[in-house]
Amino acid sequence: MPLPPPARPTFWRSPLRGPWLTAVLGSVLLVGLTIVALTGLVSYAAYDPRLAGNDLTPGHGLLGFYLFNWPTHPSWLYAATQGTHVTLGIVLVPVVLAKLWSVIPRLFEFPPLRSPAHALERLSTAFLVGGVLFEFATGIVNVQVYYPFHFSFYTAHFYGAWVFISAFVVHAAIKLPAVRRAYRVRGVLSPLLDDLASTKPEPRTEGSLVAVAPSEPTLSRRGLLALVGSGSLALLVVTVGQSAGGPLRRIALLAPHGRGEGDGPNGFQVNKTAAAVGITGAHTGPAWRLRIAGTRTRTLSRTELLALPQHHASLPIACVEGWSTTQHWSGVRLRDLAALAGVSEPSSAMVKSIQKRGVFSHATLSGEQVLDERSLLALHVNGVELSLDHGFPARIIIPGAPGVHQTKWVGEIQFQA
Amino acid sequence: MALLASLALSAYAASKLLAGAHLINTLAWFGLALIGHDLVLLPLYSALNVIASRAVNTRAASTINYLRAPAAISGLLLLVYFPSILGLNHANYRADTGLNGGVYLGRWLLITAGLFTLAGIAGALQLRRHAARRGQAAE
Repeated sequence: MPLPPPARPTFWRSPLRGPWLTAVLGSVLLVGLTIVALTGLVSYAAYDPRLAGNDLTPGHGLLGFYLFNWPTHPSWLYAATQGTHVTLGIVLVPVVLAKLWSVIPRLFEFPPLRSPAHALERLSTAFLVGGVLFEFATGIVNVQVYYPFHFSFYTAHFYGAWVFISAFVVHAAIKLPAVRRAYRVRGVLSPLLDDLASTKPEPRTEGSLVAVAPSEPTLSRRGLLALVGSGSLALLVVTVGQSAGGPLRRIALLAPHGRGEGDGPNGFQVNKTAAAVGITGAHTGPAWRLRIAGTRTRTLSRTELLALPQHHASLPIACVEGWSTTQHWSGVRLRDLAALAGVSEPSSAMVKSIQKRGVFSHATLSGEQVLDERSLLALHVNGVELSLDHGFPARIIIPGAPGVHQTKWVGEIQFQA
Repeated sequence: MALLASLALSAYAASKLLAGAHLINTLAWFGLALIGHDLVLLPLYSALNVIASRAVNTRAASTINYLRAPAAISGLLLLVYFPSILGLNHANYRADTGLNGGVYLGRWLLITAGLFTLAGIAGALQLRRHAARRGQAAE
Protein backbone atom coordinates (compact mmCIF):
# COMPACT_ATOMS: atom_id res chain seq x y z
CA MET A 1 0.00 0.00 0.00
CA PRO A 2 1.50 3.39 -0.94
CA LEU A 3 2.02 5.89 1.90
CA PRO A 4 -0.20 8.99 1.97
CA PRO A 5 1.71 11.97 0.49
CA PRO A 6 2.75 13.72 3.76
CA ALA A 7 4.35 10.49 4.98
CA ARG A 8 6.47 10.11 1.84
CA PRO A 9 10.07 11.18 2.33
CA THR A 10 9.96 13.29 -0.85
CA PHE A 11 6.83 15.29 0.16
CA TRP A 12 8.55 17.92 2.36
CA ARG A 13 10.85 19.88 0.07
CA SER A 14 11.98 23.03 1.84
CA PRO A 15 15.78 23.26 1.57
CA LEU A 16 15.89 25.23 4.83
CA ARG A 17 14.58 22.52 7.18
CA GLY A 18 17.30 20.84 9.18
CA PRO A 19 18.77 20.37 12.65
CA TRP A 20 20.50 23.77 12.74
CA LEU A 21 17.34 25.77 11.95
CA THR A 22 15.30 23.79 14.47
CA ALA A 23 18.07 24.21 17.06
CA VAL A 24 18.09 28.01 16.64
CA LEU A 25 14.31 28.32 16.95
CA GLY A 26 14.34 25.86 19.86
CA SER A 27 17.03 27.88 21.65
CA VAL A 28 14.95 31.07 21.36
CA LEU A 29 11.91 29.25 22.72
CA LEU A 30 13.92 27.64 25.52
CA VAL A 31 14.68 31.11 26.89
CA GLY A 32 11.43 32.81 25.87
CA LEU A 33 8.92 30.18 26.95
CA THR A 34 10.80 29.68 30.23
CA ILE A 35 10.26 33.37 31.00
CA VAL A 36 6.59 33.17 29.95
CA ALA A 37 6.05 30.07 32.12
CA LEU A 38 7.80 31.55 35.17
CA THR A 39 5.98 34.90 34.98
CA GLY A 40 2.75 32.91 34.62
CA LEU A 41 3.47 30.93 37.79
CA VAL A 42 4.42 34.18 39.52
CA SER A 43 1.00 35.54 38.61
CA TYR A 44 -0.56 32.69 40.57
CA ALA A 45 1.46 33.76 43.63
CA ALA A 46 0.46 37.41 43.07
CA TYR A 47 -3.14 36.54 43.94
CA ASP A 48 -1.97 35.52 47.45
CA PRO A 49 -3.85 32.23 47.11
CA ARG A 50 -3.34 31.24 50.76
CA LEU A 51 -5.69 34.04 51.85
CA ALA A 52 -9.41 33.31 52.14
CA GLY A 53 -11.29 33.32 48.86
CA ASN A 54 -8.33 34.35 46.68
CA ASP A 55 -7.49 30.98 45.14
CA LEU A 56 -9.29 30.49 41.83
CA THR A 57 -8.16 26.86 41.58
CA PRO A 58 -8.94 25.49 45.05
CA GLY A 59 -8.69 21.88 43.79
CA HIS A 60 -5.08 22.30 42.70
CA GLY A 61 -3.60 19.53 44.86
CA LEU A 62 0.18 19.42 44.41
CA LEU A 63 0.23 22.04 41.66
CA GLY A 64 -0.80 25.09 43.67
CA PHE A 65 2.35 25.60 45.68
CA TYR A 66 3.72 29.08 46.10
CA LEU A 67 7.12 29.94 47.50
CA PHE A 68 6.64 33.44 48.85
CA ASN A 69 4.09 36.01 49.94
CA TRP A 70 3.51 38.63 47.28
CA PRO A 71 5.52 41.78 48.17
CA THR A 72 4.39 45.42 47.91
CA HIS A 73 7.78 46.64 46.62
CA PRO A 74 8.35 47.71 43.92
CA SER A 75 4.88 49.08 43.18
CA TRP A 76 5.21 48.17 39.48
CA LEU A 77 6.05 44.53 40.27
CA TYR A 78 2.88 42.94 38.88
CA ALA A 79 2.74 45.41 35.99
CA ALA A 80 6.23 44.19 35.02
CA THR A 81 5.75 40.44 35.52
CA GLN A 82 2.32 40.24 33.91
CA GLY A 83 3.16 42.72 31.15
CA THR A 84 6.13 40.46 30.33
CA HIS A 85 3.98 37.32 30.46
CA VAL A 86 1.38 38.62 28.01
CA THR A 87 3.61 40.68 25.70
CA LEU A 88 6.39 38.11 25.42
CA GLY A 89 3.83 35.35 24.87
CA ILE A 90 2.32 37.29 21.95
CA VAL A 91 5.76 38.16 20.55
CA LEU A 92 6.75 34.47 20.57
CA VAL A 93 3.79 33.39 18.38
CA PRO A 94 5.81 33.55 15.13
CA VAL A 95 8.71 31.67 16.72
CA VAL A 96 6.40 28.89 17.90
CA LEU A 97 4.84 28.67 14.42
CA ALA A 98 8.27 28.59 12.75
CA LYS A 99 9.48 25.91 15.17
CA LEU A 100 6.45 23.73 14.45
CA TRP A 101 6.90 24.31 10.69
CA SER A 102 10.53 23.23 10.98
CA VAL A 103 9.60 19.84 12.47
CA ILE A 104 6.27 19.15 10.74
CA PRO A 105 7.62 16.14 8.74
CA ARG A 106 8.01 14.38 12.10
CA LEU A 107 4.23 14.40 12.59
CA PHE A 108 3.80 12.16 9.56
CA GLU A 109 6.86 9.91 10.06
CA PHE A 110 6.39 6.28 9.12
CA PRO A 111 6.02 3.91 10.84
CA PRO A 112 4.26 6.17 13.37
CA LEU A 113 5.38 4.12 16.38
CA ARG A 114 8.69 2.27 16.21
CA SER A 115 9.02 1.06 19.82
CA PRO A 116 7.44 1.56 23.23
CA ALA A 117 10.02 4.26 24.02
CA HIS A 118 9.22 6.03 20.75
CA ALA A 119 5.50 5.81 21.56
CA LEU A 120 6.12 7.46 24.95
CA GLU A 121 8.19 10.21 23.34
CA ARG A 122 5.42 10.91 20.82
CA LEU A 123 2.84 11.02 23.60
CA SER A 124 5.07 13.52 25.41
CA THR A 125 5.31 15.57 22.19
CA ALA A 126 1.51 15.59 21.96
CA PHE A 127 1.37 17.04 25.49
CA LEU A 128 4.09 19.55 24.54
CA VAL A 129 2.55 20.82 21.30
CA GLY A 130 -1.05 20.50 22.51
CA GLY A 131 -0.03 22.29 25.71
CA VAL A 132 1.73 25.21 24.03
CA LEU A 133 -1.07 25.72 21.47
CA PHE A 134 -3.77 25.44 24.16
CA GLU A 135 -2.01 27.95 26.42
CA PHE A 136 -1.39 30.41 23.58
CA ALA A 137 -4.94 30.09 22.23
CA THR A 138 -6.67 30.52 25.59
CA GLY A 139 -4.33 33.33 26.69
CA ILE A 140 -4.66 35.27 23.44
CA VAL A 141 -8.47 35.16 23.35
CA ASN A 142 -8.67 35.98 27.08
CA VAL A 143 -6.72 39.23 26.74
CA GLN A 144 -9.30 40.23 24.12
CA VAL A 145 -12.22 39.30 26.43
CA TYR A 146 -13.39 36.73 23.88
CA TYR A 147 -14.60 33.47 25.41
CA PRO A 148 -15.50 30.89 22.79
CA PHE A 149 -15.22 28.06 25.36
CA HIS A 150 -17.35 26.81 28.25
CA PHE A 151 -14.61 26.20 30.83
CA SER A 152 -13.14 28.72 33.26
CA PHE A 153 -10.16 30.50 31.70
CA TYR A 154 -8.22 30.72 34.98
CA THR A 155 -8.58 27.03 35.78
CA ALA A 156 -7.84 25.81 32.26
CA HIS A 157 -4.88 28.14 31.67
CA PHE A 158 -3.40 27.17 35.05
CA TYR A 159 -3.65 23.38 34.66
CA GLY A 160 -2.84 23.59 30.95
CA ALA A 161 0.38 25.36 31.96
CA TRP A 162 1.43 22.38 34.07
CA VAL A 163 0.69 19.95 31.22
CA PHE A 164 2.94 22.09 29.03
CA ILE A 165 5.69 22.76 31.60
CA SER A 166 6.28 19.11 32.47
CA ALA A 167 6.49 18.17 28.78
CA PHE A 168 8.66 21.24 28.01
CA VAL A 169 11.27 20.41 30.67
CA VAL A 170 11.75 16.84 29.50
CA HIS A 171 11.69 17.86 25.82
CA ALA A 172 14.48 20.39 26.45
CA ALA A 173 16.51 17.76 28.30
CA ILE A 174 16.04 15.11 25.58
CA LYS A 175 16.81 17.48 22.69
CA LEU A 176 19.77 19.31 24.23
CA PRO A 177 22.33 16.86 22.74
CA ALA A 178 20.79 17.31 19.26
CA VAL A 179 21.00 21.11 19.63
CA ARG A 180 24.65 20.93 20.70
CA ARG A 181 25.44 18.57 17.82
CA ALA A 182 23.79 20.94 15.32
CA TYR A 183 25.79 23.89 16.66
CA ARG A 184 29.01 21.84 16.66
CA VAL A 185 28.53 20.64 13.08
CA ARG A 186 27.28 23.90 11.55
CA GLY A 187 28.48 26.56 13.99
CA VAL A 188 26.11 28.65 16.09
CA LEU A 189 25.98 31.69 13.84
CA SER A 190 27.97 30.84 10.70
CA PRO A 191 24.92 29.69 8.65
CA LEU A 192 23.71 33.30 9.01
CA LEU A 193 26.59 34.40 6.74
CA ASP A 194 25.05 32.58 3.74
CA ASP A 195 23.17 34.75 1.28
CA LEU A 196 20.56 33.21 -1.00
CA ALA A 197 23.07 32.11 -3.62
CA SER A 198 25.12 30.16 -1.07
CA THR A 199 22.14 28.68 0.82
CA LYS A 200 22.37 24.91 0.57
CA PRO A 201 20.45 22.18 2.41
CA GLU A 202 22.09 21.04 5.65
CA PRO A 203 24.07 17.78 5.34
CA ARG A 204 21.58 14.94 5.44
CA THR A 205 21.83 11.98 7.78
CA GLU A 206 19.36 9.10 7.98
CA GLY A 207 16.15 10.14 9.75
CA SER A 208 17.07 13.83 9.97
CA LEU A 209 14.76 16.75 9.15
CA VAL A 210 16.71 17.61 5.99
CA ALA A 211 14.64 17.10 2.82
CA VAL A 212 15.40 14.04 0.67
CA ALA A 213 14.53 15.94 -2.49
CA PRO A 214 14.98 19.63 -1.63
CA SER A 215 13.67 22.32 -3.99
CA GLU A 216 15.72 25.38 -4.99
CA PRO A 217 15.87 27.88 -2.13
CA THR A 218 13.91 31.15 -2.55
CA LEU A 219 14.90 32.45 0.88
CA SER A 220 18.13 32.23 2.86
CA ARG A 221 18.16 30.97 6.44
CA ARG A 222 18.91 34.46 7.71
CA GLY A 223 16.04 35.66 5.52
CA LEU A 224 13.66 33.20 7.16
CA LEU A 225 14.84 34.18 10.65
CA ALA A 226 14.51 37.87 9.69
CA LEU A 227 10.93 37.21 8.59
CA VAL A 228 10.14 35.49 11.90
CA GLY A 229 11.83 38.35 13.76
CA SER A 230 9.87 40.94 11.76
CA GLY A 231 6.65 39.17 12.71
CA SER A 232 7.67 39.30 16.37
CA LEU A 233 8.65 42.96 16.06
CA ALA A 234 5.32 43.85 14.43
CA LEU A 235 3.40 42.14 17.24
CA LEU A 236 5.60 43.88 19.82
CA VAL A 237 5.00 47.32 18.30
CA VAL A 238 1.20 47.02 18.19
CA THR A 239 1.02 45.50 21.70
CA VAL A 240 3.68 46.66 24.15
CA GLY A 241 2.34 50.20 24.63
CA GLN A 242 -0.62 48.97 26.68
CA SER A 243 1.89 47.80 29.30
CA ALA A 244 4.88 50.10 28.85
CA GLY A 245 2.86 53.30 28.49
CA GLY A 246 4.39 56.63 27.46
CA PRO A 247 4.62 57.40 23.73
CA LEU A 248 4.44 53.65 22.93
CA ARG A 249 0.78 53.68 23.99
CA ARG A 250 -0.07 55.68 20.86
CA ILE A 251 1.25 52.95 18.54
CA ALA A 252 -0.31 50.03 20.45
CA LEU A 253 -2.81 49.94 17.58
CA LEU A 254 -4.16 46.44 18.07
CA ALA A 255 -3.70 46.07 21.86
CA PRO A 256 -7.10 45.60 23.53
CA HIS A 257 -6.32 48.16 26.25
CA GLY A 258 -4.14 50.56 24.31
CA ARG A 259 -6.50 53.46 24.86
CA GLY A 260 -8.78 54.83 27.58
CA GLU A 261 -12.20 56.45 27.46
CA GLY A 262 -10.93 59.95 26.80
CA ASP A 263 -8.56 62.70 27.88
CA GLY A 264 -9.90 63.76 31.30
CA PRO A 265 -8.48 62.85 34.74
CA ASN A 266 -10.72 59.75 34.68
CA GLY A 267 -9.94 58.99 31.04
CA PHE A 268 -7.61 56.05 31.67
CA GLN A 269 -8.47 52.40 30.94
CA VAL A 270 -11.39 50.62 32.59
CA ASN A 271 -11.27 46.87 33.13
CA LYS A 272 -14.94 46.45 34.06
CA THR A 273 -17.44 49.29 33.77
CA ALA A 274 -20.04 49.87 36.48
CA ALA A 275 -22.75 48.76 34.05
CA ALA A 276 -20.95 45.45 33.43
CA VAL A 277 -21.24 44.46 37.11
CA GLY A 278 -24.71 45.88 37.77
CA ILE A 279 -23.75 49.12 39.55
CA THR A 280 -25.84 52.25 39.01
CA GLY A 281 -25.88 55.70 40.60
CA ALA A 282 -28.60 54.45 42.96
CA HIS A 283 -26.09 52.18 44.74
CA THR A 284 -23.44 54.86 45.09
CA GLY A 285 -25.49 57.93 46.04
CA PRO A 286 -25.67 59.70 49.43
CA ALA A 287 -27.07 56.55 51.04
CA TRP A 288 -23.81 54.66 50.39
CA ARG A 289 -21.92 53.71 53.55
CA LEU A 290 -18.60 51.96 54.14
CA ARG A 291 -18.73 49.35 56.89
CA ILE A 292 -15.44 48.51 58.56
CA ALA A 293 -15.20 45.65 61.02
CA GLY A 294 -12.46 44.49 63.38
CA THR A 295 -12.71 44.35 67.14
CA ARG A 296 -15.33 47.05 66.68
CA THR A 297 -17.56 48.02 63.80
CA ARG A 298 -17.91 51.47 62.26
CA THR A 299 -20.07 52.77 59.46
CA LEU A 300 -18.77 55.76 57.53
CA SER A 301 -20.34 58.01 54.90
CA ARG A 302 -18.23 59.45 52.11
CA THR A 303 -18.26 62.84 53.87
CA GLU A 304 -16.89 61.22 57.01
CA LEU A 305 -14.19 59.47 54.98
CA LEU A 306 -13.21 62.81 53.42
CA ALA A 307 -12.87 64.30 56.91
CA LEU A 308 -10.19 61.71 57.79
CA PRO A 309 -6.52 62.47 56.94
CA GLN A 310 -6.06 62.20 53.16
CA HIS A 311 -2.87 60.76 51.64
CA HIS A 312 -1.50 60.60 48.10
CA ALA A 313 0.15 57.82 46.10
CA SER A 314 1.15 57.31 42.46
CA LEU A 315 0.40 53.66 41.80
CA PRO A 316 -0.37 51.47 38.79
CA ILE A 317 -3.41 49.37 38.20
CA ALA A 318 -2.01 46.29 36.47
CA CYS A 319 -4.35 43.79 34.90
CA VAL A 320 -3.92 40.03 34.53
CA GLU A 321 -4.57 40.73 30.83
CA GLY A 322 -1.17 42.43 30.70
CA TRP A 323 -2.01 46.13 30.46
CA SER A 324 -1.25 48.68 33.13
CA THR A 325 -1.55 52.40 33.80
CA THR A 326 -0.11 54.52 36.61
CA GLN A 327 -2.32 57.24 38.11
CA HIS A 328 -2.20 59.66 41.03
CA TRP A 329 -4.62 58.56 43.74
CA SER A 330 -5.67 60.08 47.06
CA GLY A 331 -7.79 58.86 49.94
CA VAL A 332 -7.64 57.30 53.39
CA ARG A 333 -4.81 54.96 54.35
CA LEU A 334 -5.99 51.38 54.86
CA ARG A 335 -3.96 51.17 58.07
CA ASP A 336 -5.83 54.19 59.47
CA LEU A 337 -9.11 52.39 58.75
CA ALA A 338 -7.73 49.25 60.42
CA ALA A 339 -6.89 51.29 63.52
CA LEU A 340 -10.41 52.77 63.50
CA ALA A 341 -11.76 49.21 63.49
CA GLY A 342 -9.55 48.44 66.49
CA VAL A 343 -7.01 46.23 64.66
CA SER A 344 -3.74 48.14 64.42
CA GLU A 345 -1.71 45.07 63.28
CA PRO A 346 -4.06 43.16 60.95
CA SER A 347 -2.94 39.81 59.52
CA SER A 348 -5.33 40.21 56.58
CA ALA A 349 -8.38 42.14 55.45
CA MET A 350 -11.30 41.00 53.34
CA VAL A 351 -12.63 43.70 51.03
CA LYS A 352 -16.14 43.35 49.62
CA SER A 353 -17.60 45.33 46.78
CA ILE A 354 -21.23 46.30 46.40
CA GLN A 355 -21.07 45.06 42.81
CA LYS A 356 -23.71 42.50 41.89
CA ARG A 357 -21.75 40.33 39.48
CA GLY A 358 -18.21 39.22 38.72
CA VAL A 359 -15.65 36.74 40.10
CA PHE A 360 -13.77 39.54 41.85
CA SER A 361 -16.50 41.13 43.96
CA HIS A 362 -14.27 40.41 46.96
CA ALA A 363 -10.56 39.95 47.66
CA THR A 364 -8.44 39.30 50.74
CA LEU A 365 -5.41 41.55 51.24
CA SER A 366 -2.37 40.51 53.27
CA GLY A 367 -1.31 42.32 56.44
CA GLU A 368 1.72 43.68 54.58
CA GLN A 369 -0.56 45.16 51.91
CA VAL A 370 -2.88 46.79 54.46
CA LEU A 371 -0.05 48.28 56.50
CA ASP A 372 1.92 49.72 53.56
CA GLU A 373 1.75 53.51 53.79
CA ARG A 374 0.88 53.78 50.07
CA SER A 375 -2.19 51.52 50.37
CA LEU A 376 -5.33 53.62 50.15
CA LEU A 377 -9.04 53.51 50.09
CA ALA A 378 -8.97 55.99 47.20
CA LEU A 379 -11.68 58.66 46.90
CA HIS A 380 -9.99 60.84 44.29
CA VAL A 381 -7.82 60.25 41.23
CA ASN A 382 -5.69 62.88 39.49
CA GLY A 383 -7.23 65.60 41.68
CA VAL A 384 -10.90 64.85 40.94
CA GLU A 385 -13.53 62.49 42.31
CA LEU A 386 -13.35 58.93 41.05
CA SER A 387 -15.71 58.32 38.13
CA LEU A 388 -18.37 55.65 38.55
CA ASP A 389 -16.46 53.32 36.20
CA HIS A 390 -13.29 53.73 38.28
CA GLY A 391 -15.03 52.74 41.51
CA PHE A 392 -16.87 55.77 42.96
CA PRO A 393 -17.51 56.28 45.86
CA ALA A 394 -14.33 54.46 46.98
CA ARG A 395 -11.87 51.87 45.68
CA ILE A 396 -8.83 50.02 46.95
CA ILE A 397 -5.41 50.90 45.54
CA ILE A 398 -2.40 48.92 46.81
CA PRO A 399 1.14 48.70 45.45
CA GLY A 400 2.38 45.78 43.37
CA ALA A 401 -0.80 43.69 43.30
CA PRO A 402 -3.02 42.47 40.44
CA GLY A 403 -5.74 44.90 39.37
CA VAL A 404 -8.55 42.53 40.31
CA HIS A 405 -7.47 42.87 43.96
CA GLN A 406 -7.85 46.66 43.72
CA THR A 407 -11.55 46.28 44.49
CA LYS A 408 -13.87 49.01 43.18
CA TRP A 409 -17.18 50.24 44.73
CA VAL A 410 -16.06 49.06 48.19
CA GLY A 411 -18.91 48.42 50.65
CA GLU A 412 -17.17 46.62 53.49
CA ILE A 413 -13.70 45.87 54.87
CA GLN A 414 -13.21 43.19 57.54
CA PHE A 415 -9.85 43.41 59.30
CA GLN A 416 -8.54 40.20 60.90
CA ALA A 417 -6.15 40.48 63.83
CA MET B 1 12.88 7.83 33.54
CA ALA B 2 12.65 11.61 33.14
CA LEU B 3 10.19 11.05 30.31
CA LEU B 4 8.00 8.85 32.50
CA ALA B 5 8.12 11.35 35.37
CA SER B 6 7.20 14.15 33.00
CA LEU B 7 4.33 12.13 31.52
CA ALA B 8 3.06 11.38 35.01
CA LEU B 9 3.09 15.08 35.91
CA SER B 10 1.44 15.99 32.61
CA ALA B 11 -1.23 13.35 33.18
CA TYR B 12 -1.78 14.60 36.75
CA ALA B 13 -2.20 18.18 35.53
CA ALA B 14 -4.41 16.95 32.68
CA SER B 15 -6.60 15.10 35.17
CA LYS B 16 -7.01 18.37 37.13
CA LEU B 17 -7.76 20.20 33.90
CA LEU B 18 -10.38 17.65 32.92
CA ALA B 19 -11.86 17.49 36.42
CA GLY B 20 -13.45 20.87 35.65
CA ALA B 21 -17.10 21.07 34.74
CA HIS B 22 -16.73 21.01 30.97
CA LEU B 23 -14.64 17.92 30.22
CA ILE B 24 -15.65 17.45 26.60
CA ASN B 25 -15.19 21.14 25.82
CA THR B 26 -11.73 21.23 27.40
CA LEU B 27 -10.67 18.04 25.63
CA ALA B 28 -12.03 19.37 22.35
CA TRP B 29 -10.00 22.56 22.74
CA PHE B 30 -6.83 20.62 23.43
CA GLY B 31 -7.42 18.44 20.38
CA LEU B 32 -8.60 21.31 18.21
CA ALA B 33 -5.47 23.30 19.05
CA LEU B 34 -3.35 20.44 17.69
CA ILE B 35 -5.50 19.63 14.65
CA GLY B 36 -6.21 23.30 13.97
CA HIS B 37 -2.51 24.03 13.67
CA ASP B 38 -1.05 20.82 12.23
CA LEU B 39 -3.81 19.90 9.80
CA VAL B 40 -5.42 23.27 9.00
CA LEU B 41 -3.23 26.32 9.58
CA LEU B 42 0.09 24.89 8.42
CA PRO B 43 -1.31 23.23 5.25
CA LEU B 44 -3.27 26.43 4.53
CA TYR B 45 -0.28 28.77 4.57
CA SER B 46 1.89 26.19 2.78
CA ALA B 47 -0.72 25.92 0.01
CA LEU B 48 -1.02 29.72 -0.25
CA ASN B 49 2.76 29.84 -0.60
CA VAL B 50 2.76 27.29 -3.41
CA ILE B 51 -0.08 29.06 -5.26
CA ALA B 52 1.62 32.44 -4.90
CA SER B 53 4.97 31.01 -6.03
CA ARG B 54 3.37 29.65 -9.21
CA ALA B 55 1.40 32.81 -9.86
CA VAL B 56 4.37 35.14 -9.55
CA ASN B 57 6.21 34.94 -12.84
CA THR B 58 9.70 36.09 -11.94
CA ARG B 59 13.19 36.09 -13.24
CA ALA B 60 14.65 36.15 -9.75
CA ALA B 61 13.39 33.39 -7.45
CA SER B 62 13.55 35.69 -4.43
CA THR B 63 10.97 38.17 -5.79
CA ILE B 64 8.24 36.08 -4.15
CA ASN B 65 9.56 37.28 -0.78
CA TYR B 66 8.21 40.78 -1.43
CA LEU B 67 4.79 39.15 -1.36
CA ARG B 68 5.55 36.60 1.35
CA ALA B 69 6.83 39.05 3.96
CA PRO B 70 3.85 41.46 4.09
CA ALA B 71 1.38 38.58 3.77
CA ALA B 72 3.06 36.67 6.62
CA ILE B 73 3.20 39.69 8.97
CA SER B 74 -0.35 40.78 8.20
CA GLY B 75 -1.52 37.20 8.63
CA LEU B 76 0.24 36.95 12.00
CA LEU B 77 -1.46 40.12 13.26
CA LEU B 78 -4.80 38.66 12.15
CA LEU B 79 -4.04 35.29 13.75
CA VAL B 80 -3.35 36.89 17.14
CA TYR B 81 -5.92 39.70 17.07
CA PHE B 82 -8.76 38.09 15.04
CA PRO B 83 -11.33 38.39 17.87
CA SER B 84 -10.81 42.17 17.94
CA ILE B 85 -10.39 42.61 14.17
CA LEU B 86 -13.39 40.48 13.20
CA GLY B 87 -15.52 41.86 16.05
CA LEU B 88 -16.09 38.52 17.77
CA ASN B 89 -15.44 40.14 21.15
CA HIS B 90 -17.33 43.39 20.58
CA ALA B 91 -20.27 42.76 22.91
CA ASN B 92 -17.99 41.75 25.81
CA TYR B 93 -15.48 44.47 24.97
CA ARG B 94 -18.04 47.25 24.96
CA ALA B 95 -19.67 46.03 28.19
CA ASP B 96 -16.33 45.63 29.99
CA THR B 97 -14.38 48.66 28.84
CA GLY B 98 -17.09 51.06 27.68
CA LEU B 99 -15.23 51.43 24.38
CA ASN B 100 -16.23 50.73 20.79
CA GLY B 101 -14.21 47.77 19.47
CA GLY B 102 -14.96 48.66 15.87
CA VAL B 103 -11.66 50.48 15.36
CA TYR B 104 -9.52 47.36 15.04
CA LEU B 105 -10.61 46.17 11.59
CA GLY B 106 -9.72 49.52 10.03
CA ARG B 107 -6.37 49.66 11.80
CA TRP B 108 -5.45 46.16 10.69
CA LEU B 109 -6.42 46.93 7.09
CA LEU B 110 -4.32 50.11 7.18
CA ILE B 111 -1.33 48.28 8.63
CA THR B 112 -1.75 45.58 5.95
CA ALA B 113 -1.95 48.17 3.19
CA GLY B 114 1.16 49.86 4.58
CA LEU B 115 3.10 46.59 4.68
CA PHE B 116 2.22 45.67 1.08
CA THR B 117 3.04 49.19 -0.10
CA LEU B 118 6.45 49.14 1.56
CA ALA B 119 7.18 45.67 0.21
CA GLY B 120 5.98 46.72 -3.25
CA ILE B 121 8.32 49.71 -3.30
CA ALA B 122 11.24 47.57 -2.08
CA GLY B 123 10.41 44.91 -4.68
CA ALA B 124 10.20 47.44 -7.51
CA LEU B 125 13.58 48.92 -6.55
CA GLN B 126 15.05 45.42 -6.48
CA LEU B 127 13.70 44.63 -9.97
CA ARG B 128 15.12 47.90 -11.33
CA ARG B 129 18.52 47.09 -9.88
CA HIS B 130 18.33 43.66 -11.55
CA ALA B 131 17.33 45.22 -14.86
CA ALA B 132 20.13 47.79 -14.64
CA ARG B 133 22.66 45.06 -13.92
CA ARG B 134 21.45 43.00 -16.88
CA GLY B 135 21.58 46.12 -19.05
CA GLN B 136 25.21 46.70 -18.08
CA ALA B 137 26.03 43.06 -18.72
CA ALA B 138 24.49 43.32 -22.21
CA GLU B 139 26.56 46.37 -23.23
